[in-house]
Amino acid sequence: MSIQNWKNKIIKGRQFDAFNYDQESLNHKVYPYAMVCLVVDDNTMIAVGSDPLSP
Amino acid sequence: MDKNKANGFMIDLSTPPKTMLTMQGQKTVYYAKLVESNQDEDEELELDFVFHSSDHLRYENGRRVSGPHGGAPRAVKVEANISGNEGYTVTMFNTDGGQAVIQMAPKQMKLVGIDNEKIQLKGYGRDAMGASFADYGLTIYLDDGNIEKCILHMFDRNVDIEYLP
Repeated sequence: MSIQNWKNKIIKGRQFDAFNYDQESLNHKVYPYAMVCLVVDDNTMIAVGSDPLSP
Repeated sequence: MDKNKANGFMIDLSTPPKTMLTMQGQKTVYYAKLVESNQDEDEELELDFVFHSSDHLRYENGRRVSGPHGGAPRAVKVEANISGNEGYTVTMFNTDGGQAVIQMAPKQMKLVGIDNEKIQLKGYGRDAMGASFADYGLTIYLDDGNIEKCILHMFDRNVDIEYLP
């Protein structure tokens, strides 16, 4: 599915993955600040929040 | 995230996606915001549909043993549990000739898994005759939010029946 399929749609929280990286790993991987993401494809992801502890 | 499982999120189009270089290569990150708050942890996924299948394939021990049959219409009905218990009722109909004849009596199932591609139900409890519903399961495959196909599992016989669109 492309990102277009996810736009303007409500995404249930249960569809997200909790990566549970610690802050150091997040920084190392240069992942987004959020620890809860949904991988759309190899190059695209959706993240919830911009705080490492959210949501 | 557990407390947010029942909540709804939507991509925040007012926040531009961010492109970042990660160890896995370049990634574009879209941010989602909370749009639907539902703190009821026990909220049940609403399922109420009839999937009309034109044909089916039968697998035994993971091997296809029959089908397609050149047209064998069936209907898979999933609705809220007609007994009033948790979960759903799954019933199969033979719709050949335009009439719906019950092919598999209603089975009580509950949600055991969900992701972007599929919804998994598994039977639980027993019927009035004492037969276990746990011998049955149903996987509903999704494509862009639409039902792509359903697979009925009969765990005790290691049989799967794939209902094609």
